[in-house]
Amino acid sequence: MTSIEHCLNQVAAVRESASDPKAAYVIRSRLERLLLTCARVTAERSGLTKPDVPGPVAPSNAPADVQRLAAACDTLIDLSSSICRPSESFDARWDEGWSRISPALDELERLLESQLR
Amino acid sequence: MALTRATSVWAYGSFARGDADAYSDIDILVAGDGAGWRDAVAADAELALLMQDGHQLSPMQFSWEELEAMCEYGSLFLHHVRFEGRPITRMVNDPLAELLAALPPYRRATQEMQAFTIVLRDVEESLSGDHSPKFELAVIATALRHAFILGCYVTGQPDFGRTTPFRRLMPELQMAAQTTADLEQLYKFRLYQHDRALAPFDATTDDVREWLHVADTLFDGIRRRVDDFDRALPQPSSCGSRVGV
Repeated sequence: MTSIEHCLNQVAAVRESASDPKAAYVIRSRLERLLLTCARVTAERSGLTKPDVPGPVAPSNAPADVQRLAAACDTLIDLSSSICRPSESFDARWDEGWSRISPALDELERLLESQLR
Repeated sequence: MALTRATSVWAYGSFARGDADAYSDIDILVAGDGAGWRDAVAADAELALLMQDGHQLSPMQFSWEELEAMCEYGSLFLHHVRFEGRPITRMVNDPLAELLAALPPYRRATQEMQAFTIVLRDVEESLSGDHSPKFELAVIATALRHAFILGCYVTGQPDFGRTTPFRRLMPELQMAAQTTADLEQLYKFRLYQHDRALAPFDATTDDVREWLHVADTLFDGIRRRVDDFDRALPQPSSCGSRVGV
């Protein structure tokens, strides 16, 4: 499995857990792992050291497609810091939170798929 | 701006508990429409000093409708606020205090244990591909902390501290005292993830496997306590409407 396919599998894992809003804890954990995996891919393709925890990567000298991937991850990092906090699920605001995360996840998935072509 | 009657502001978390460090945020619960909450916090002498020292506010705002819904299932977050929180707004008949006083037992403990277990299985699965042992140890540590907080709650000894739940529950689980010290070390990976501590050791995949085994054993013990707690739960009772303020 390539590292991009690995990321795509993790996007699918986040979506799968999102079907049950009571599993907010699982979703947050999977989002963090996805963001770390993407950051490691981005770093590798930019000639940077792979990070060992999730966080923004600034691949200033990387190709444009890698920079777009990094930007999509940064958007998700911002969104995921506010959703599912604290860890227990909040049914009432889940729909709103997921409605913001979902398009950002779609965009990340689109960029990852474009790297496979 | 004047506070409206419907806004109640409470502090909770590490400062309210007394185990804050230089990096700690000031956890604030804003109940209601939120009007004037910043003024209320700024008027609190202790919080104002903390802010002067550079601590950031970390507010969570909920409408009364959301709080009522959380109350229905006995939200553990609300139990947390009830246990260690203190009101910032000085109100006669504080509606949040009334809601917390009527809070029923937490009804999602089993579901939460299931979520923690899924997270451990995710860690296990991650080891077959590119992974960061430090991150995976942070995930295990966080799941363990939350499971221990839950375990403390269901055994009637609530503790929402950073690592104190490990120490409090371990005798009940009949684990060696050294396991507590090891867990406190492990939790530093979570702090490392948030740039608040150095990694306690140079983690390997074998460390992750070993900790998964320990976590499974600890989870088994906590799950038994959760099952006992759930069996003894009374029939659900409504929190009632307390939002007519």
